[in-house]
Amino acid sequence: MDLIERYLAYVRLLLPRRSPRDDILAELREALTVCQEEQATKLGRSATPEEAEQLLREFGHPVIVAARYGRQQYLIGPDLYPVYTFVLKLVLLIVAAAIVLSGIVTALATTGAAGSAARTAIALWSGAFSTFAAVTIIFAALQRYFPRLRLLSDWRARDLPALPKARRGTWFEHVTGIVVNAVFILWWLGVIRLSPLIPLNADQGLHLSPDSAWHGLYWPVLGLAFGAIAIHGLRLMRDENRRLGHALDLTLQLGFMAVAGWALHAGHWIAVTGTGLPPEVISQIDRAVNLGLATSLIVILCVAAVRAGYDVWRLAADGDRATD
Amino acid sequence: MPIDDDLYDKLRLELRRGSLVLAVLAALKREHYGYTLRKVLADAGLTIEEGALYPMLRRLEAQGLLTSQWREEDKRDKRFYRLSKDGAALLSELTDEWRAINGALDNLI
Repeated sequence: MDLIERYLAYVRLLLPRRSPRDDILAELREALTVCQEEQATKLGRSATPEEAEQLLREFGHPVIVAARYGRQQYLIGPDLYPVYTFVLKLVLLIVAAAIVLSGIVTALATTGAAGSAARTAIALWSGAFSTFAAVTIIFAALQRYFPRLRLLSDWRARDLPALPKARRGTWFEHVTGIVVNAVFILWWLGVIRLSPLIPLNADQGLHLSPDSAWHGLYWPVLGLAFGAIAIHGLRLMRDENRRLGHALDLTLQLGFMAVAGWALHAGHWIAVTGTGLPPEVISQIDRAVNLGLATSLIVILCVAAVRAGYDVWRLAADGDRATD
Repeated sequence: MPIDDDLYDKLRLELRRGSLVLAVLAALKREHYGYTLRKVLADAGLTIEEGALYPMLRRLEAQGLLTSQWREEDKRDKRFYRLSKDGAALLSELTDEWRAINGALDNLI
């Protein structure tokens, strides 16, 4: 079988099922024969095997030539593509947030934090992959069966919701933030001392003291408080570098998440003792105080996770704008 | 900043893609088979890969813009293409559009 016939055999194999294969191949054979004759005329002799091969290469790979006889179809066309990317990003964000939150709740409900983190990472990977596949299949189906569909073509500018202005926070908020954190640091360092005694009446009183759970968190908590002051200070400056601000805030929020997560595993943070009170009452107060602290730590963890997600999104959005 | 060769090739390809259909339709006001059509286009300064030309002819025929028939010439069977009635009407509309674009671009460039 010469090269042209071998080439045509592959084209035949790859042609769309319903195409008139014999007719197409007859036409291509005729075209290639003419090309061969033209080549021989130019060379003044018969083409070498390499030259014959070059002629077929110029004609095009059988896969490409055969595919051109098929229906010209976009997987997702230019009209639908911007909507597709928008929906894909949105759904990916929602799925990722749901998986991370469920991972946090699982970590809190069980003791194996490392295992929970690994499961969350796997769930994030498979969730992202499944989301990508599902959204792509839906849009490919829309493209195929509703090619004239014009999503988002019927809209009015006045219906777009007003976006909140980028908030730097007020001067008062940042100064307050700096003062509150400074007071906290002074208390944490022991410069400001608060009495651990809470008098209830002349004969009764409660004594609150931090548990050993805080010993390992002394320096991290101090670092976070200084970090919070640095960010408030940065935001007070009018010429704040937004990317730097978000990067620092992201670091801070991750720090909050790590410290809150670590502290949560202790299960007990304040030891309550008392004078003049029955042991069961002191025990109940101890439980209530520590339950309140556990709730606060969970809230801190969730808020920090949301803020960290926002920082990541803003960093990515600013990065996209910078590269445009 | 130097212009990326890939970008130039991409934009050039986009520019040519639409105009090739118009060129093929215009050339087929007279009957041609694949080889002679490619020669006519090449002589006019529009080269086209053969592997792309034949599928394009089939597609235009399937869209009702061309008619074709096998006929013997120089002792070989060849498939001859010609503009159909619908194809002629569309060519006229596309030509007007092309001239409008060309005129507008002439004023800008």
